[in-house]
Amino acid sequence: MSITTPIPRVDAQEKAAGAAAYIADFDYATALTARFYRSDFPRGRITGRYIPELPSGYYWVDHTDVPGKNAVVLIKDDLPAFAEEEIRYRGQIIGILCGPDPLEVDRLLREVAIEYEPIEPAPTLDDGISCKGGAMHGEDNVFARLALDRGDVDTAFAGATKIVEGTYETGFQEQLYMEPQGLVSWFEGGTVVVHGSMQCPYYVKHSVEVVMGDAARTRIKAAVIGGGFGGKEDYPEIMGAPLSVAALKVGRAEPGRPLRMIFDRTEDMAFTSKRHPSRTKIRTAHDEDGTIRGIESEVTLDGGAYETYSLIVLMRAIFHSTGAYHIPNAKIRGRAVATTTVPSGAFRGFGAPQSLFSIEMHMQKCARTFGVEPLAYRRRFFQKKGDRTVTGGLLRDEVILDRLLVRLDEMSGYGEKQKRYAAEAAERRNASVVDAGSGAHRARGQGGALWRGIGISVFNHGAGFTGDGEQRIIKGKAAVHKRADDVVEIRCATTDMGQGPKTTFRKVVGAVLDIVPEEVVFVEPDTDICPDSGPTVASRTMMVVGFLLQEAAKELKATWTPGEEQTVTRAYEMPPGMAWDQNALDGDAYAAFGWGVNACEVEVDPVTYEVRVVHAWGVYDVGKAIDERVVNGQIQGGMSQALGYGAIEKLHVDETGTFLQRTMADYIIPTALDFPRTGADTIDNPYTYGPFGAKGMGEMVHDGGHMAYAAAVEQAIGAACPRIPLVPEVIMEIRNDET
Amino acid sequence: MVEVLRPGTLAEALAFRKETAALPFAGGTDVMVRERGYTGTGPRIDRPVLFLDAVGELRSITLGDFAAGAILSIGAAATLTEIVNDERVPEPLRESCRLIAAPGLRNRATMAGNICNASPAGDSIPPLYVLDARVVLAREGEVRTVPIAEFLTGPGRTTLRDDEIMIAIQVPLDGDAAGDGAASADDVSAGASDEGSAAAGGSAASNGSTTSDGKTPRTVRYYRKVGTRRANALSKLSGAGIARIDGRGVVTDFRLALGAVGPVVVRVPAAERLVAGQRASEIEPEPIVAAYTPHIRPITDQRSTAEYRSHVARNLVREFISRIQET
Repeated sequence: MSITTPIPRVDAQEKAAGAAAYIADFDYATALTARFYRSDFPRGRITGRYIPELPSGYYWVDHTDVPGKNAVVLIKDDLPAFAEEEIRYRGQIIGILCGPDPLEVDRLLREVAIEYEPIEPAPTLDDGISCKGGAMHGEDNVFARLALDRGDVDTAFAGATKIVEGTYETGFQEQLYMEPQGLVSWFEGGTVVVHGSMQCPYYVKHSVEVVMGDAARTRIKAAVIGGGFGGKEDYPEIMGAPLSVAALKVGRAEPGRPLRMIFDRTEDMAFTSKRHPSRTKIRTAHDEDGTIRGIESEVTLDGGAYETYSLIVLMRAIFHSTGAYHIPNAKIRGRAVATTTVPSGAFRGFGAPQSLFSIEMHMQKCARTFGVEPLAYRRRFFQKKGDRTVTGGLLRDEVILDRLLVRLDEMSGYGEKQKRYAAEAAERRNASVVDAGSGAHRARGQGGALWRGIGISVFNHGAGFTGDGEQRIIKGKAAVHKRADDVVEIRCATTDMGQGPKTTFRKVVGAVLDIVPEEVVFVEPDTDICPDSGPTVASRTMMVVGFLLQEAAKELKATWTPGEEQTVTRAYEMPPGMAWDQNALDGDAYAAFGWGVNACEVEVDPVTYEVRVVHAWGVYDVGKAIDERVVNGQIQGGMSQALGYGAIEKLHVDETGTFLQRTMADYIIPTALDFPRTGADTIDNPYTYGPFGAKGMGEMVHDGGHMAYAAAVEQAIGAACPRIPLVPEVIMEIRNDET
Repeated sequence: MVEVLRPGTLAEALAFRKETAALPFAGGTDVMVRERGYTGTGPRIDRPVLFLDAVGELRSITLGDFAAGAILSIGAAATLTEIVNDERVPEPLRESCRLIAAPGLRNRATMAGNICNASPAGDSIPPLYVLDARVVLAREGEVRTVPIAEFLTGPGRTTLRDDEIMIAIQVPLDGDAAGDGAASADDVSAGASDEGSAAAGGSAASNGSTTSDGKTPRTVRYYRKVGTRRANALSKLSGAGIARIDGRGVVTDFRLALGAVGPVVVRVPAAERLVAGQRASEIEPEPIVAAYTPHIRPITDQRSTAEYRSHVARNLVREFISRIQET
């Protein structure tokens, strides 16, 4: 049986039956209800606090209770665990109120009052750049500024016969995991415990350690997770650090008394981190025939009110700024800017979906400018083995884009449809010119045929932490542990948020040890038991942690002693030959890349500008699929999430920076009727340092759908679509601007 | 604690309503969202609640023959699922109910609730306007019948009195005899939303019977929900229309209602009169669109923009006219 052959998901039955215990299901009978008190104003300085008199058994907790440092450590530690004086966004955490009766906690929260001096908010990227209301970060509101220079851009532009310019924009995106954020915390016997829904137990541990100082040792346990998508990478720290402080305060009075904090969906949607919005200006220098001589790209990310993860999101954004293309001369600039919105954070793709959108839509524009079919144009610049990336890294593995595209065309009929729909569009243009001439009003609104289009996208995704982060920052360790009864346990900090490692790690370890996967035990991540294999992020789970487990299992197999307890731990080592200079951002930004090609076919309704996605296809190089069904599940979900990002998931802020779409009725994610099942396939291209050849793929599947969609809409409406979400309102504006 | 009553008879319900001015609860799918508290704290309803789901006389959908013609009476506690499943419910009303939310919600929600919630985006309301529906309001000792357009006065505002309950919606099946509403089970909507095509929500159906001179009178029914997505969506705007074309190809009746383009549903009698009497094939759409334009005054909110709503509303007028012109 091939490793790719699917097996039943080990957690499928308990989840389908409702038996899986999510954090809200735990019977912490004596738990106090804990709720955040959040600022109800967007920006200002706190001058006074009124806390109502609390009945016995109720607690108010704020920055004065923090024994260690009042900061949430998230790469940067600029976000306070509890606000002291400064408020930078509506919803910033000021305190925690907890007690036995949820209704009483609810009532008391409404009695808390904060006096403050308001400061003018800066809700948009432009407001942030212009430091509206004064700078809130440094002198210019710029959290991070990065630069990449490759080759000689000035000469490339000086010798160009044509320059193509464009500006591309992407919006916020909400993760909308099914299970809202939830944690339970208690303090007993000198240890503060945090148990709950999280992607990264050790990240939570580090952040809790910082607020605790010497006051407590820490233990973090992950419960079953109902979806993450990056939304449970950073937020459990933002939530867990202050909650653990409250648990310490309560636990000193009532040892072991748990605090239970389960978010309401509206609180979750209004105040947890979203994907960074982006604006990217691209200029490319061309020869007569369209050949790209050089590129200048300027990426600006909306970081929200605190820096948190913006630096590393920006890194991934600029490292993906030339997409799957070899452009020898490049000048890339990136910055992340402060605004008075919820701090932007982690979301599947982590900067790559933004910059890949920009480069792909720019390739569309170049193809139009030079009158070349969009895929044929892109093909001229595909990266290949031996090329240097935009960071100067060496592509050591075969690039199989051509094979992926052959398969995509077989499945989608892209080549034929592209020609046919282009002809239809040309016919429509001619017809509407005739109509305009005769004064008749037939171009719009009279029913008529749907406008059809097909679009394509080509992309790659660097798997694992950026640069030498795996070695320098994460230092991941994973273990296989054989009990005396010869049952093998997997011990790592990787969480299964639905993406399947409980199943696929068992397959890897089982295959090495010749054990049925279901008989391998996956220990629920617990920092007292499991080594720190790093966070469950960055498409590193299978490629990095899975590889450590494979190697540990091999060693266990070689030293297997029946009836004896054995533990084999493996620590991450950088693959040989890989080199990275973090200061210069020079070298191999990623150990390996996954590659993908997507196509999307649409029909636009000329009456309402509503778009129907008729078909979507994706073909990927994931190295080797460890489980075909798991990989397919990622492809289906990733495509729907990317199409939602491109088509319908509008998330705007008001004049203060508060999100306008805070409910599931208003923030629109796709239903089963909105997008079709994706036609999906993978082609093997095994990677030496991945288990059985597997590479990262969990984020790549969110990298291409939105561009293929926008490209298809461009063909259907005959106009450029440089910003997403491309909702009917935006399509109408684009059409009106054209006519 | 909230005081609640779940009576089995209308008399009990009216007495409780009079005594307490309780909130009538017919499905509650808007109330429970609007009044929701934080997870685990229950709803925050500040007055007594009167559940209507157990009142037997409010649950039925009945056909009555009145002097003015057949009238379908839809009980205030009849669920949207029951309404959608009842073939006597005329288009485009039935289609509009079929496109509300999702099955679970339609199993609880009622049309009376949809009306009394008085949202400008209420989906069943534009079809009720074009069908000239009336609502039946009862209090102890008195029943009155009010045209739908007089009942709804603004967003969240109705002329329901504190001691009244809406007990039914009356939908005239007025008809040009055969081939209309209740009389014709084959008056099937051409709505394509089942398979989710881009024309979903846009539906029009013609039907008719051949007259003695060999020409075919037609009734064109039109419904278009422009929602935020293809299922389980709230409306950005909507349009509902009915037109009758006689055996000579002349439009004898033209009714069009637009939802969510103003504080209440828009129907413009002057515009309708412009069309009536014209030969369908000769209608110039633009003067008709122009007659609607001053009445299309939408807002920008979290779901859409005023520009989009007014632009697309005018396109819906054009689309309905083009459906009439299709032969």
